[in-house]
Amino acid sequence: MKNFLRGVIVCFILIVGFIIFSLSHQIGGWRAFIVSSGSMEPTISTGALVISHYTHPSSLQKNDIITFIAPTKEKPIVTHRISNLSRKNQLTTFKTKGDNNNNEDTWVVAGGGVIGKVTFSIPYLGYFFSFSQTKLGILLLVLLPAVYIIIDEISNIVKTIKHHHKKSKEHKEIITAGIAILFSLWLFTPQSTQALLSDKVSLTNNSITIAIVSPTITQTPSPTITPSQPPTPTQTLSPTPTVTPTLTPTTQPSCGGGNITINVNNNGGGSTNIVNVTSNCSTKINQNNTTIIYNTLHN
Amino acid sequence: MIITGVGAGAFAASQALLSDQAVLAANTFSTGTSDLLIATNPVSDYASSKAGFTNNAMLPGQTSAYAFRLKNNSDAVDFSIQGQATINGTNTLPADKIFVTITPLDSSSNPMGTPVTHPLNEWTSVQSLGDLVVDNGDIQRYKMEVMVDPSITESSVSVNFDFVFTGTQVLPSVTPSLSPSVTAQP
Repeated sequence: MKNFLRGVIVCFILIVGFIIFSLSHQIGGWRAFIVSSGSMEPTISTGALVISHYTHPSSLQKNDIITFIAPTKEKPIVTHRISNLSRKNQLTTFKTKGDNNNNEDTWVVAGGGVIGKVTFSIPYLGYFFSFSQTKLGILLLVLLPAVYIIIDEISNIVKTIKHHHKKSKEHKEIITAGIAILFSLWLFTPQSTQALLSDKVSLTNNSITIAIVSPTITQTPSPTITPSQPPTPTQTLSPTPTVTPTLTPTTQPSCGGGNITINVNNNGGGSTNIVNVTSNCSTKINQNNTTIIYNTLHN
Repeated sequence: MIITGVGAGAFAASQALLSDQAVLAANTFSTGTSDLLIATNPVSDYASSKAGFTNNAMLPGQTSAYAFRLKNNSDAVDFSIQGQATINGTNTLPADKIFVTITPLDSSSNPMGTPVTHPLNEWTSVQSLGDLVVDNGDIQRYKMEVMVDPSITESSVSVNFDFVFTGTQVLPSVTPSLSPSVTAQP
C-alpha cells in the first residue's frame, strides 16, 4: 500500500513537472500567460494565469477569448475577446474588446498575430509565478530548498561512510521531487499578457459647408473722383482763319486716382465675414483680425 | 544523484541567464477603471460625448480652429490617445480636400508635442495622436484645426463627420529585480 501511494505521488509529481515544462516551452501549442491588468474582468481577473492553445485563425469564432500580439508600436501581448471577425480571400482578421471596456479595441488583429485561444484561467496563480521571479521568491523557492538538499545529502554521505547508515529513501525521494518542482517553477517563466483598459469619447456632427458668396457691404466712397480735362485752348488769330479747338476730356478715372473704403460690420466672435471685391485695379485689403482672406487677383 | 540533479538544474538556469532571453523580473500588475471624458465649451462641462463644431460659411483655403479638452477620469490608468473620424451620410465636399490637424496644448494654450495632420479620409482609420500620455486624473488641452483645400471651387458642398478619441491604457514599465536584466523571450 505504501509503495502504491508512493508510486502515485511520484507519478503526480512527474506529470506536474511535465506540464510546467511544456507550458514554458510551448510544447503541443500550449502556453501560459500571466494577466497583468483588468480589462477582462470579471471573466479573467488581474493576476490570473491563462492557458492558451494555438488555434488556426480560420477555426476561431466570435466571442472566443484569444491571446495575440497587438499591432501597435510596442507590440504588447494582449488577451481580449473577439467582438467581430472578417474572412476574405482565406485571410481572417479580428476586432477585439475587453469585457471590462465599453468599446472595441482600436486595432485590427491579423490571423498571424494570434498566439492562441484561451482554454481556461486560474485566478491569482499569476501572482505566485510573479512572486517566484522576485529576489525573495527565488530565495524561498529555490535557494533555500537547494541548500537544504545539499546539506542533507552531504550529511547522509558522511553518515553512510561512518556508520553504514541506511535512511528511508521514500521520504527523501518525495521531498526531493517536491523541491525539484519548486525549482522548475522558477525556470518556468510565463510571459505577461495585458488586458488593456480603454475608453472613448466623441465630438459628434462636425459640419463644414462651403459658403455661397453673398456679401453685405456698406460703401463710403471718398473723395469724389473728378476726371481731368485738358485746359480750354486759346488762340490768337492772325490774320484771318478761324480755328475751332477740339476738346478731348478724360471721362474715365484712372487706376490709382482715388480710394474706395469698404466697411464690413463684424457679426460677433467666431463669425465669418464675406467681402466680394470686383475691380480692374489692384486691390489692397487691410485687416486687423486673424481671419484668412481668400483673394483672387484680377490684374 | 540529487546533487547532480540540482547541479544540472542550476547549470540550466545559468544558461538561461547568460544566453537565453527570459524575463527575470516581477510582473507589474495594474488594476483600476478606465474613464475618458471630453469638454468643449464650457470647458468645465465634461461628458463622454459632445456636439462638434459647425461652420456653414467656410472658404477654400480657410483654416478654422476649435479647442477641446480630454480628461482622464480613470482610477490608476494612464492613457495614450488615438483619433478616428466617421463620415456621416454622403459628403459632397471631398474628404481628401479637408485637412484636420490636432495639436496638444499646454496650460497656457501654447502648442506642445507634435501636431498630427491628415486629410479627413485618412482620419477614418485610427491615427495615434503621438507619444503623449495623459496620466490618470489629468486634463489635456487640444486644438483641432480644419482647413479646406484652396482648390475647392464649388459652393454649398458639405461634409458631416464624428470624431472619436480613444484612450488606451499604458502600462508602467517593468523594473527588473535581478541583474543582469534581460528581455522577454518571444
